[in-house]
Amino acid sequence: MAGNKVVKSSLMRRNHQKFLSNKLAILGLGIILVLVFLSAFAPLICRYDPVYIDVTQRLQQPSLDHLLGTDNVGRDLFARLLYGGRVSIFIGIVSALASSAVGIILGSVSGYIGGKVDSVILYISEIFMSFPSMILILVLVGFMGQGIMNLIIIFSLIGWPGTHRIVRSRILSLREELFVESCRASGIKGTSIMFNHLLPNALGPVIVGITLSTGGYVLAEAGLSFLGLGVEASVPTWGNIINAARNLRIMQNYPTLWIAPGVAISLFSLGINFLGDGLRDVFDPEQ
Amino acid sequence: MFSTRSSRDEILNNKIVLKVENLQTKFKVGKRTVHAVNDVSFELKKGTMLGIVGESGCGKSVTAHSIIQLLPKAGYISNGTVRYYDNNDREYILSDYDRNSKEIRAVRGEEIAMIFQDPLASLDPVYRIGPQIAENLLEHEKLSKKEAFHRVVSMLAELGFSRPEERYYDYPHNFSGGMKQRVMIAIAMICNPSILIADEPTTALDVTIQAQILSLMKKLQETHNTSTILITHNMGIIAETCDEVAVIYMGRIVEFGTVEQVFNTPLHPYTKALLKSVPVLSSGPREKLAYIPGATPDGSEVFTGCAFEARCEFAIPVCKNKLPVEKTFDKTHRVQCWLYEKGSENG
Amino acid sequence: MLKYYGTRFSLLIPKLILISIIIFIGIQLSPGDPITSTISPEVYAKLSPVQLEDLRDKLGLNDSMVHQYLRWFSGILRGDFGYSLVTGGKISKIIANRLPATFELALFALLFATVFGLSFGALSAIKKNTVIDYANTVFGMIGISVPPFFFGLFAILIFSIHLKWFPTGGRMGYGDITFFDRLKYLVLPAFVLGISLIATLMRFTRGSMLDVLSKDYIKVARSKGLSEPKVNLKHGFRNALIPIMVVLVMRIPMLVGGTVIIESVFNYPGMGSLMVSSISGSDMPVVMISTFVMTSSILVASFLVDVFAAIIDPRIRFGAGEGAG
Repeated sequence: MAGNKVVKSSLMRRNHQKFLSNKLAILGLGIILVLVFLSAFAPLICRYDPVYIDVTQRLQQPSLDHLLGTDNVGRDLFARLLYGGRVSIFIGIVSALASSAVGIILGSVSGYIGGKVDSVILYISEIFMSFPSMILILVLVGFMGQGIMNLIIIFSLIGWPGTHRIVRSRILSLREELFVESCRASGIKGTSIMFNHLLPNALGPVIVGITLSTGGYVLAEAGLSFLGLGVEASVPTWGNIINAARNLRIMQNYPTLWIAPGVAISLFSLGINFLGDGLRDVFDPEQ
Repeated sequence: MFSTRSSRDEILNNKIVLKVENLQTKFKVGKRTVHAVNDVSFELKKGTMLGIVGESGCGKSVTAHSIIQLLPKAGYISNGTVRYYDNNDREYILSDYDRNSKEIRAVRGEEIAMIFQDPLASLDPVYRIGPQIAENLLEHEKLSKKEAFHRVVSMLAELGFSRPEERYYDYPHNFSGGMKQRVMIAIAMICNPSILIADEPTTALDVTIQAQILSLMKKLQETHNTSTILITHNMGIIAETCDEVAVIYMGRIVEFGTVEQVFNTPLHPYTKALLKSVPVLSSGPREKLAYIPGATPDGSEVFTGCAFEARCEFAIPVCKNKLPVEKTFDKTHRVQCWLYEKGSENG
Repeated sequence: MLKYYGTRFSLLIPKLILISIIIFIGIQLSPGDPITSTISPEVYAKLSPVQLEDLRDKLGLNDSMVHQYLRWFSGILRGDFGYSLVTGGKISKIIANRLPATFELALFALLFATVFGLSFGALSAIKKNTVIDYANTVFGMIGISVPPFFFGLFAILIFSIHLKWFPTGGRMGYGDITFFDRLKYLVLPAFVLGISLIATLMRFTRGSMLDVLSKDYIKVARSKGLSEPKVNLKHGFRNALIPIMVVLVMRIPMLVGGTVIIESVFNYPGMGSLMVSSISGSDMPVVMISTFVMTSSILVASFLVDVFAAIIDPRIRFGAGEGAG
């Protein structure tokens, strides 16, 4: 319908303007893009292999050769930072998407079908929320073991309640709206209503949720790897790099080794938060 | 209904307690400036009730808030003076005081008190009503908690609460709308102020309760000789309770006089229109008056001529270009309208 | 009023039971022979396989799951938590040493975060759009973005190593007996644990305060002639506090979860570091029991905050309805 298209594009334009006027969100997006770019093109940017151990080169200070120096077994820190970014960001994004997908499905079922199914899912999500997420994650790591895929699965298993709640409440509030009644009256099927009308309206806060939880999962993986319980030590991640530097002597004398990855994590997280806040303003104007 | 309404001559002899001269109040909303009050002048005489009437958005509420500097952060008095005269004839230039300064705070509550439209929103939900009333008292008078308690209880009794010493300890949510408004009145009257400003006190209440509250206010006015400013959009209420009336449109007083003068011989076309659209003691906030075509203009518009011109059925060409000069009839009846260029006492 | 507390409490019990069931299932699912966590290793070492089978029958390990659960749960209520697979010690003893440590840490962090978060947030609202407001917003952003362990390492580097104000870790030193002796060990970890909560509370308090300050009863308070500080504190802040309690309840799990990392950074011997060491050592009985203890504590703490919220908001206690006019 041409009318729909016109409405949609002017809405898009207004959102674009609002987004652009939020300088922090732009800054956040910029930071994210830079970090993703650096990680993605790691092999082009840095010629060192992040896992190559060369004990003769251990604990070098930053130089033109090793931009950020080397760690306690001689691995180039800059390389580890870039390649580590790949893993950390990958885990963050994929976990956010996966847990949101589960949340969208369960939320749609909850909201649209309602009744006993809804009550059961809601109760389950409440129980999930009573456990501190860090502890749940640790227990699951205890059962399933470490690893990138395991982490992603675990994050998806414990992360869906947030998205579920958002989608469910949106659908519940929209379900009673007149336009749904009129859709039903003109004979449009339930699933069609769900996909074409209800979900798109819920999409806004879900996108915000995905953005913000990406940052959350990057932080979670960093924390787990810092404890030695996240990604295995042979694969570099930002958290693993700090874990390797966990030693009072190294901390004091070679601060780059743990400050650099820490700054990387913080910058990514900061950028995500700026971006997420900006998106939140776009999708949910407080006026 | 009220046989005690003062006549024009009686009023003329009463002393002045509040003098507002050329008051101008503006609001900064983002980049725009809203001219809420453009030029308001009036005098409030001791022991009388002055009604300020107009549609919503006309600036009557802002005028009231300006008197004791209760404007929100975005609002400010840009011109004019507000003078208050207490029982000892001491003059306070209220418009000179800084917002929330010690001087203005000494006047608020003690000399000039105010009640607002929504009694539900006006009471703090986490404190009992007794202490909320006592708070006003204890701010201005050095009393022991016990003395304050007794003062509050007798005020509550005067306002019609049964078992007031028990109700002292009730929370706001224990009361109905009408009773809540009585609590508000208690808060306002507890220090026995010279002036009570009531900003649409009955608009949010049921019709039956409206009458109760109005008669209560009138009774208080007579007992305590409180000078009252009553703000409303309802001409019927003005007729029932007030001695004088100011008709306000777009931040200007377009007509002023005793209730007899204005109701018997309305001069301004806006006043006439307001009178035409009054049902008997109307229910609820009837903001859109059916008989006046068009809507109240936006507050940021500036008019070179009379602001009512676009909606006036008697408009003549000069109305659009030049602001009408004020004319006075029958000593106290003022009007700002080009229709009365000739034939007035000063024309 | 008691009825309200009674209802809230009765909601607590089914949750605790459900969680205990989940924990029990978790223990059953862990690898290893269940008998090793039910009897002490000394006893286990002395028995022959036949005697062990006999003991399994006696202990009910061949009974139905329901029976086993009830037996296990009644053991829990008596304080019998079983044995650690790694150290062979009684789990109840292990926890008895660690739980108070984490409790102190979490409480301290909560107090610290509440005091600073609430006051800076309220200040931000009152001085909206001034330098103070923007500064607080910036600090808040940093607080939720920087990973806690990074903060922790920094804190150790600056305050412990360079400035030497505080010890680098642990809970007490030789000869430290009283709480005040231990205090210096608590400061840095509690500070770092509280940071992200401060950031959240600041933001939320600001929002709640701004909301409240736009209400009519604030205007009424001014019209009584009250000074701005009195208006802001007595009427503004007091009302803003109520929705903040709700947020606080939601954040308690996160606070407890945060102890896992913070205790590791500071080598603080609490429940959090116990979780980490027992997971690393695959000591699942300890893991599950620790989880149970921590989660139950969170539920109880949330209940207490709810109680506090009811105290400060009379509408919750008495049910806001129209009284006899």
